[in-house]
Amino acid sequence: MSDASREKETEPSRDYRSAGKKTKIAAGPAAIDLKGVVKRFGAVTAVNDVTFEVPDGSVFGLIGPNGAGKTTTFSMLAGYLAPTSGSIYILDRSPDAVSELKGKVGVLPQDALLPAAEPVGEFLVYLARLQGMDAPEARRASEKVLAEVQGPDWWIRRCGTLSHGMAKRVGLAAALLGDPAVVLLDEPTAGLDPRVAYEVRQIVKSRKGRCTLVISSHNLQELEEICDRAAILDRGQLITVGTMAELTASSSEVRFELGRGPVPEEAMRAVPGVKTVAWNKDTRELAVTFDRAACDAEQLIRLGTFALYQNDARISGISKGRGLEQRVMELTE
Amino acid sequence: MLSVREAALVAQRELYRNLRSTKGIAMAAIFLLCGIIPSLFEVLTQREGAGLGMDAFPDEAKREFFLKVLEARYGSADTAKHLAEAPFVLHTLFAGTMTFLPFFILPIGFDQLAGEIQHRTIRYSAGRADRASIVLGKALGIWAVVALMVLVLHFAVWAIAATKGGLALGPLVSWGGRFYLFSVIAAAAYVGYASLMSSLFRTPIVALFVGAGGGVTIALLNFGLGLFEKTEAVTWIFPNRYEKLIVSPDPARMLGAMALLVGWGALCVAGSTLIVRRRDI
Repeated sequence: MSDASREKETEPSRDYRSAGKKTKIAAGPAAIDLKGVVKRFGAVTAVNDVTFEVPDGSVFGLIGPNGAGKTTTFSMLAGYLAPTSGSIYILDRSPDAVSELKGKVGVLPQDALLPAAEPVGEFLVYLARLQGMDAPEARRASEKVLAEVQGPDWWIRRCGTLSHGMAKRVGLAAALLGDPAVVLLDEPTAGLDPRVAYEVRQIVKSRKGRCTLVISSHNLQELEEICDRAAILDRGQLITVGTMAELTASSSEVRFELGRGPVPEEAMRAVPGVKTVAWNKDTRELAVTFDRAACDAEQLIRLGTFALYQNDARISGISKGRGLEQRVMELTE
Repeated sequence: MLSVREAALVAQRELYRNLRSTKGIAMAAIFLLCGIIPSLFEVLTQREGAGLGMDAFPDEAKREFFLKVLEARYGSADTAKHLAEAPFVLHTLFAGTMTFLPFFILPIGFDQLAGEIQHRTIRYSAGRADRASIVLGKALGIWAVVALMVLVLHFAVWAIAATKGGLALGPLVSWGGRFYLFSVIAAAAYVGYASLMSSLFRTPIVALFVGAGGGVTIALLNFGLGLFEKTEAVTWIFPNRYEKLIVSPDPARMLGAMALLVGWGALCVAGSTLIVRRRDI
């Protein structure tokens, strides 16, 4: 997401380890609403009391390490798994209200195999017809969406003959069929080579603003790039949820990476609006938090850079916030 | 909510999927061979009957013997008398179809749900169609596949019986059509059974073996319990019981048996729906 759009997000994220879990966090109408969702498999609690909302039109990331409960949460959103307790609403409907949600929710499941013997085009037309389209409309929609994933030549190819990347894109095409209002993507780039992953990311980005997107992924750089908001899960629990700017603190923290030479901490503290300055000698990073009411990140970068140069510091890098990866590492330790 | 349109789409796909899969082609070939080989044998034995000394038996004696066999099989003198009118080759075809049909249906339908659940392919359709429609559609699709394969089998026999056996068109159409209809109606019960077995397990091969074991158990129980007067009533819970009534000359009995066979299948599909609806996929 752009820095400008991140700056617009002002509502603070909620840290669920310290705050009440039933707090409403989203601004505007919610496309997806989870309240106190629990999923147990026998004695194992895979998801425990998870509550969050996904604002309409946003791109929302589900983040967490293996076993965090991402895929279980995702599968409950998609209606594949029924929650043990709690409630889930997608477009004000329960995920199992298939007839009401038909054509409004598209899903890319992570590990669902395409029917090997079926030709791609025929399979997409079948899915489109199940969504309620008539035969000519289903064909048109299938051709359009297959072209969108750059696979118009695969129409008569059997699904079983597709490579992993092709199959993933056909799955994505199925999820995007008929321009659904909500699109759920589980690990859309997992196992893909960088080029295909990039192409898939571009396809997903092209949908931004046209629908509500929920993306579950391990690839934090990808999520940071695509998402407006995210929920971080760990061991089945919701750790925090908020805008990407809040999660990465990009609107309240700037990091200066310094080369060998002086570290003018005091000069930095004297910059107007600076609240705290912390020096990490291992990473050679000067982390500066600031008062957002007094200045914004760009202004702080300008003033801070000036102060550092004036004190002969050698700047080798500047970043806003901590980066999602670092934030997730901190939160899921 | 169950939708007829969704079920029809799923059924159509299931039909295509089966007919062009290796398994579907192999099953069609087996059906065809099962029809052609015995009927050729039957026609050739009839033609060479004089040489084998079959003419030594008078027609009346042969008819008496046939009647006794039929009465023993169907447990009714009226039914035996009625069926004795049918061309021998067509009745043999019908009896063979009814005996082996369950063993053919299970291999066709055991993976209809278990396979999709195992590979999670069902996830693509589950968000677009009610699970009840998916289960019903798949069962209807399998039923259509079976109906088509039985038609192939019967048609092959009709063709041989008409061309090589000299069977007249009237009895061929009348009895052949009826026996085909009875076979397809009876198949509904076993299609339902295959659907139920397929919904119970995530691993198709387990569904196949447990289904086969269950099928043999049902057949044995039906046979064993039917031998004793005290337990004979219990056999009404097995579909095999109605197979004997479906050929009754009494229209009410025949229609009742048809309804019971379809009902038995429908009950199994309803059970299958209940399982798939509650199941995590």
